[in-house]
Amino acid sequence: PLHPPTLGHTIHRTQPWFHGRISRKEAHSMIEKQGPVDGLFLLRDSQSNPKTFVLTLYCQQKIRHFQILPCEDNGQLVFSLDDGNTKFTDLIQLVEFYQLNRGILPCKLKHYCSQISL
Amino acid sequence: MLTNGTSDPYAKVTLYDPINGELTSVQTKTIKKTLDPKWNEEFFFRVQPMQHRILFEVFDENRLTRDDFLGLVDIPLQHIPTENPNQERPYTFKDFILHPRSHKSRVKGHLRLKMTYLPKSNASEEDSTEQTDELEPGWELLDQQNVTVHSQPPPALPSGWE
Repeated sequence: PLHPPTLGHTIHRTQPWFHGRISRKEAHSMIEKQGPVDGLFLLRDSQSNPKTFVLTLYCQQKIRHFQILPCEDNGQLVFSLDDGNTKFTDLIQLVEFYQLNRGILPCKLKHYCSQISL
Repeated sequence: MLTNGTSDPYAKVTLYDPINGELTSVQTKTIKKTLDPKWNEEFFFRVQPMQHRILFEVFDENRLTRDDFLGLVDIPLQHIPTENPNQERPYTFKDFILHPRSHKSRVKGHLRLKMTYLPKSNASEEDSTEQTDELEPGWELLDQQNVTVHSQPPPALPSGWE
């Protein structure tokens, strides 16, 4: 079966932790409203850097934003938030990994920020 | 290539699907100047035992040139035992012989690994797995098993190895 090469770009869009094009400020306030809980997180499109994503994470009384950058690995598109040391074929793999492993994050991902439907 | 009889090895661990390709790839730290690295690192993966495999590749880190390939181990996941992490973990490591990746590569030594599945355990674990039950269509929801990998490999390289 053929898998479209851009599947890695879009597969996350229906995930409850993905919030699309919200700003850093909006992400911040969403986390504040639903927190403070260590491991509270969401993922979003980067406004400043299209085609990249951001992980917004609350941990130890701080809200931090981690850039998720696409890069090429043997002709495959992969995503990484630690400069290519840890790579993922899509954001679902990334979230699953950081729910189980801390990596370079201050803590593991625990609870996602629910989307607020207007 | 002169090595002065030593290497700066690291291991790359890749969870992959033989049909769909690489899913997740992570690396151990590099241990400088050793032929007998003990990374003692632990990684957790959520896998589908019947579909996924894990590939271990050992490399010698080079600052200026491309890292040298030192060998690989490719492991299917169906027959890995399940272990309760709350019980005392017996340190039963298994040694896997490092394999070449082409007729050109010359490899030696072995990789010592500990791999287990963790059973679905306490309530807090349940909560987070509830949230991530959104698997895309076509994914079989299996027993959400986690694989713990301890890498502790001693590849015994003869000195002067290229």
